[in-house]
Amino acid sequence: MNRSYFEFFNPVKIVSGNEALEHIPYELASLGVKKPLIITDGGVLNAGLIEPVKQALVVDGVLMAGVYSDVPPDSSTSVVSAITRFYREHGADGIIAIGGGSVIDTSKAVNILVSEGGDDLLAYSGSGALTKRLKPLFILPTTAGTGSEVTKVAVIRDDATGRKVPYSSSFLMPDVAVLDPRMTLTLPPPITAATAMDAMTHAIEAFLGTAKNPISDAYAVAAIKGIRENLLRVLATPDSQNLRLKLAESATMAGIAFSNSMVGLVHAIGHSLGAITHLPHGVCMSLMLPYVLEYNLPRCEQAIGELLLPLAGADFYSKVPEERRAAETIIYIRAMQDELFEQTGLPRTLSESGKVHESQLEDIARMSIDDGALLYNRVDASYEQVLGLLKSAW
Amino acid sequence: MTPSLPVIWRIKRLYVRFMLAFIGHGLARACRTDQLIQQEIESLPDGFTFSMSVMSRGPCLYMKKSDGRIKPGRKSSETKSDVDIQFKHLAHAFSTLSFQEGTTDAFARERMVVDGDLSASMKLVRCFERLEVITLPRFIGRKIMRHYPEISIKEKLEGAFQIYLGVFAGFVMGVFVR
Repeated sequence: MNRSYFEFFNPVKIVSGNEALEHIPYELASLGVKKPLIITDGGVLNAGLIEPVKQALVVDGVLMAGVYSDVPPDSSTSVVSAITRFYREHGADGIIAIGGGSVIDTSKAVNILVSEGGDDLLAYSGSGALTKRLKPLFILPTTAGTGSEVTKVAVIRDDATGRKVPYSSSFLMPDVAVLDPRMTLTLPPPITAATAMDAMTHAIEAFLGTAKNPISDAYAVAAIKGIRENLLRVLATPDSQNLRLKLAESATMAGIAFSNSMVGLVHAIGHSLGAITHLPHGVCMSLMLPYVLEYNLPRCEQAIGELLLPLAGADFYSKVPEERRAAETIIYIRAMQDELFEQTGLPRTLSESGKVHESQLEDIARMSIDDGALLYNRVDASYEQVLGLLKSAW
Repeated sequence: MTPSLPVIWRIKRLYVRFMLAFIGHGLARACRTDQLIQQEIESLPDGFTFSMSVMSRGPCLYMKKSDGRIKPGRKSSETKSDVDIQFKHLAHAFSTLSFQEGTTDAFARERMVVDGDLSASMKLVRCFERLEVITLPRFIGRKIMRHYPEISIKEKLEGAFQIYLGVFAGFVMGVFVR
């Protein structure tokens, strides 16, 4: 009996393109928001990225509750509490989050407290604790990579214990994700490359994992094609709004894919690598990707071979015999890594990163096998096998 | 008036209840007799609890680690387990516990909801898979697991004997899940 079954859910309205910011007032009004609070961080503020947003609101006569711009890179429960107080004191009735992963996760957590009431965020940790719609949440990502604008998860550090606590619920998904090229235009090349490779890994792992499904596959393939076609061109012409937008859209599609079919071993290792060595997440993804693909090859040869089409294009794909396609996919990704290393210095090995000590590999391997993402990898991995992979990537 | 459960579903519910009890007693025994399970349980803190149940008020297994050993117990309704695994429906629990569907497939197909300490739940998954390796015939294990490890007939038979003994003793002692 075929036991195949899948679930797919994405209720986020994607507002994308030229002058997308100017659509925000209409979208706010549609959801009954009269006084939104902007949540962002110092970097975004200093880069002047909130100015066009404020202007779009002012022109349409939208009153702002204020701007909270002190979200740190590693947000915590006390930050969430402070913003919640700010939200309540200023009578806000909705949230506009402008930033990367930390700002987005923090905003999702703030939305829990301002919607549910109280100040005990931990009471809503885990999955299934939220049972009703939250306040309107708008997300404007300033990196093209995390996909957090379309996911149902937030991770916030608990100040009391130091633990990173996950919050998972469909109600955490924002109402609207706004992709405007102005938001990623000033992203420096190394971060552009690392975050795009994060998105590439989301799409590839979504396409290969045990929870893959036909709908997430469609998003994953479109995302891979979009990143392949636009990443190197963005690096060559960083001021191109059109290319920046296509990259942002691809990252969002990758986010939709992996939020419905999960990620695998690259993420299991990458999470641990990042936690222990503080290497940026996108860098961890980029450098581990080809090694894990080689590891998965015996069990995923056909699926990895299919990735060659969105990666290398139809002309190249049609010239490669079927039995060579999986190997060529990995060769193509390595060639892409070399190109990114040349242009941005994005490391291809752990030693090249300069931030990892060989003595840390055992701890990273031990932590990796306890990461939930491993469950969704088509090939299981033991401590010894992960350690072997890390040594290969050294 | 709640309609009565058809006989086939009563049998399935009874089977799920039996299998949860089997896992509970088997794990309690294996954490003393199997080196791999012992290592996984050792790394969990004393006082650690987990529950595996069927939504919404179906059979439930509750286990707690104390004095270095993990044992089945009774869960009070207020207690929140460190790891809470809930099958969404009796049909899903039956498919998984009758080995028609592997643990990782059940996760991938969203047959269950996992809440709590995710790294501890990975240790538990490895314990469940080790139990399957020891107690199930190789051809079933190979069908439902991503990787079936090398294990000698001697190791398998000795391990299975210990676990079945533990399960038998558990049932005789009357520690049975709800």
